[in-house]
Amino acid sequence: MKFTEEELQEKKELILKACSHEETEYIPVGLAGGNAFLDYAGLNYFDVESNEENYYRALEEVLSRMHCDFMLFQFAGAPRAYEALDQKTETFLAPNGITPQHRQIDKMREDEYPQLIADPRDFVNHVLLPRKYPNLFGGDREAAVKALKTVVEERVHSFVIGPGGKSAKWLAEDFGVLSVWNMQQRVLNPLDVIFDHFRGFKGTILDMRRRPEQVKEAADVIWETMCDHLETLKSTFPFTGHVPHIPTYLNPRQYYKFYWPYEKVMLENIARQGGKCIMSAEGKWMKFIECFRELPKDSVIYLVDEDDIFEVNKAIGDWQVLGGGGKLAEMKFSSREDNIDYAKRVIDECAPGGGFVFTIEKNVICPGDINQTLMDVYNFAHEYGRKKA
Amino acid sequence: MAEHTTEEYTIEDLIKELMEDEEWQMPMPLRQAFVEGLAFTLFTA
Repeated sequence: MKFTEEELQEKKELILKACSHEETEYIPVGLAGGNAFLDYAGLNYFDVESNEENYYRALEEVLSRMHCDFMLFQFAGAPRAYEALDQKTETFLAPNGITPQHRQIDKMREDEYPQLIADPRDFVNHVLLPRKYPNLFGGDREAAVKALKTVVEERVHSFVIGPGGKSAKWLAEDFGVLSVWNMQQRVLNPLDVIFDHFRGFKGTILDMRRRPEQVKEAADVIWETMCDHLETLKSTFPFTGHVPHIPTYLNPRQYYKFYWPYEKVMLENIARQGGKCIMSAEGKWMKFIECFRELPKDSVIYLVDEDDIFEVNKAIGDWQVLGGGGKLAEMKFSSREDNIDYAKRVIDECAPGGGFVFTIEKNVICPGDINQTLMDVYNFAHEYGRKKA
Repeated sequence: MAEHTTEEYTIEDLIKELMEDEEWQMPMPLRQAFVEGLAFTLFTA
């Protein structure tokens, strides 16, 4: 163990201060780590899934070379469940054994809103699950039980070795990396549930125009029956996680009608209990960024994606915590110097006074995502950030 | 209520069978917690 409990506690307090607009000794730097670690270590998912030594090596190859204070970390892949469920899951591992892939399967038809609204759980359990997994419900009960055991065993194993167990301990004690994302406690917006799991991208966008009353009613029912309103947090650190998907595709009218009412309740509930939400704001949000001023100060750690971080900073940088400074694609295709210049500018403009963490905007999940430029930029940000926090 | 299909069993039946399989759960008690959320897991997987 290289980091003492006292040192880890000091780091936690520094992160909390930075996320409360207080100046700190240095700016916390972190990322959403994933399968790219495997590639950098010359491994794939199958090399680590049941091999703790390889799993540890995948972490060590990267973290012994770059400074990192916090991570949302997970090796993604459930290949055994994928096969056990006849390759019907929407997320699966690419043939390279590294890149997680996702395809969207539209499970619900446009004329099925009445069934969803009447009883969401019944609709899911007795209509959509058999539709998604016809073989699982095809009559061979023994085979179905065996398949589900495979699914559960794999998930438990991944949890125990992964972010719920051993890897979190290794990351903290050996590499000084804290998990800031509570995997068991997350914001789940009902419109994202419709988007991600019921009607898909095309269906949801069309439905909001063709049958808005049904979409709203479905969202209300999902809100009451499937979403945790976060009125009682299990803990305030790690932060409550959120990965909103649909907002970037909404216009402001749609956002404030279909998305924000539920979002605001959850974010206010988190803040009321002294917690914060760490949010990967996927895509572009400038068209309704002012909504974050309706919330208590420093209640959201807003990780910038495609928006111009300097514009976001002007709009809400004094009120909420921002995360940014690195761009994954630029680190693969632009020079080290250009990336460092950009990081420097972001730190200079966004960091003074606290309320800023250094991150890149995407998860590192593909071969090549971890590279020397990325590591150099992170090491630079750590050192340069000592003067700016 | 949603129209039920003609399967012999439902997801609830399968979950109940797994919850009652103590021999399977014994090596790793955490399995029970993951079985409880299995319908949602399958729906979102």
